[in-house]
Amino acid sequence: MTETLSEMTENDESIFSSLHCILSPISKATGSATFTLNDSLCTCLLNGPGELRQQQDAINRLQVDITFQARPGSNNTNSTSTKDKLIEQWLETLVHSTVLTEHYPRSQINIVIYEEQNLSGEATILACLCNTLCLTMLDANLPMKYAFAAVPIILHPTKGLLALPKTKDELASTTYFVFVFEITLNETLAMHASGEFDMKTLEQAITIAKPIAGQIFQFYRQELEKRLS
Amino acid sequence: MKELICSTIERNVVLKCIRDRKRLDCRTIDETRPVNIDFRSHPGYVSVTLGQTHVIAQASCRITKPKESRASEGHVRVHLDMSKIPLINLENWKHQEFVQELNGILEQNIRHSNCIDLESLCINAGELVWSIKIDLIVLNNCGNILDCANIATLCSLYHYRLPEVSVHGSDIRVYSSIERRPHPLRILHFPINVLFAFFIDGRYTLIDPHSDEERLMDGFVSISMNQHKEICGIHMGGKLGLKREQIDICKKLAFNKVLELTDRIRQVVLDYYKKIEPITHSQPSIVRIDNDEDDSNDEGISTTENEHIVLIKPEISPSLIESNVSLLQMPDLNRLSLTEDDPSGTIGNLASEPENDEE
Repeated sequence: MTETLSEMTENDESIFSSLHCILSPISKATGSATFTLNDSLCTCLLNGPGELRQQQDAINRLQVDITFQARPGSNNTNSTSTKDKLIEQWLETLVHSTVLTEHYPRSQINIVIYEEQNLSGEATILACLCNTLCLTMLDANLPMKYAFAAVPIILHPTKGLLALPKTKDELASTTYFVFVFEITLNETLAMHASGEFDMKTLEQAITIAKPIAGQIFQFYRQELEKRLS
Repeated sequence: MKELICSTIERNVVLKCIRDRKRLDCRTIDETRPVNIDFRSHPGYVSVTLGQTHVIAQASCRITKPKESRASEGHVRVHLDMSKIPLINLENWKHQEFVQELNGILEQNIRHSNCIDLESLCINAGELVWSIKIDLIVLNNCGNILDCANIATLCSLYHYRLPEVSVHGSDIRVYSSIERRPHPLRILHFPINVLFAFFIDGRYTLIDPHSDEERLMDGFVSISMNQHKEICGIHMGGKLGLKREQIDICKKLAFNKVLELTDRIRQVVLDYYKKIEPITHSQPSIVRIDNDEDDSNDEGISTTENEHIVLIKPEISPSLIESNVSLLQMPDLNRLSLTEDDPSGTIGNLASEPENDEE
């Protein structure tokens, strides 16, 4: 397996061409966003902070309820599969670390994320979900410590490490990483990885991903400016 | 999550406007909101907005045993999911009742009107048939979910592509989308639903109510009609008593809307397939993967020439149809083979592979 660093031939414009977003597509939700990353599309909506149900107990913090809905019909029953539950829990840790939960005691927020289109593998869809979630929270004006952005990186058998991979490349590789960075110090907030790799590859991947996260933050700024102007 | 309670002032304002034959969003009483239909790259996935009301639909197929009384007919099911939106009428049971009512109307429209040729879904009479399921999810409720969901169902059915199946004696083979192009469903007509809301003892009528108006209506009449002026279903809900002339006026109004929408649905789906047609199926069976560093791989939707790399188009990805064909209810597994079609070792996809589903 090659471990060569791929040439960063992408410049600013091409990153922004693979990112698209629509803010507040759902009028009745507190915040909502639709985000496209290459060939993956996600919609997320957020309702809250509202009152708690009787059974729930969150005395001094905010209760976060996340539901991830994969494309209906992709598994037989209507219930969530274990993989989807894992995604829900992963995203819940992200929300807990970002949102200032002490500001809303005895309240809950409900987040629903729909995966609308996924032609590539898991890396792009995971990154898409994270970014959609962040944009939704920004759209809902929830008080957050920092914004975050996720970058998918794959380890292609011949081309090495590729960031924001195209569908063809992603389907050809079995190892991928998704890194979530936060905006203030550009540190890693969360990550998910799958496949065979060693620590050196992991560190290289983080180095490649950081500047891309910076560009995604710029994209967030642009979108929010468009909305507020 | 509950909706906001409707205050007395709001109620009075809306009813006064209706008495003056006006509406809060400046529409006339027989004007519907603009419909926006969006498809995604997965066949059968459509996102429809009627004004601000947003419904998404996904069609999926399964191979099952047919009913004994109808041995050569497939099945169609519609499932409406409104669990993620704020509770209508503030109580869970009222919300559930509402969902069940809408689900019933939608099912009746599609099933009992025979809009799909069920016999074309038969693979092997008496043993194997296709079972189509439409999952509808309501994202935003701004009034008139019924019409929006109905349009979404019809678009999804028209957009969906069923995999090819071949029967050789007792062996049945389902082809992936790369080997043989999946074919569309046989839809005989489009039963379009139009909702009429009645106010103040049935004296005032509105078409396509907004959510404020829908909360205050006494009842509704939903007329489902196709372009041949055949009525596929009439439903009345709520507390209403109406005269026959009122229903006749509703039918006339509905017919105009039905004609527009039928054309629109046909046009939109045909346009979508016309756009991806020349690229997807120019050379369906040749796959050459270029070895040198090629950075001309754009998104692939609009710019692939034949002399460069001929890709398996991302629009219909290899495991897509398989991920929709579940084998949970397969009668005789050993007589069936799904084709092996992963030329490029996918990362564990959400596809329901045969090994995972055998019970």
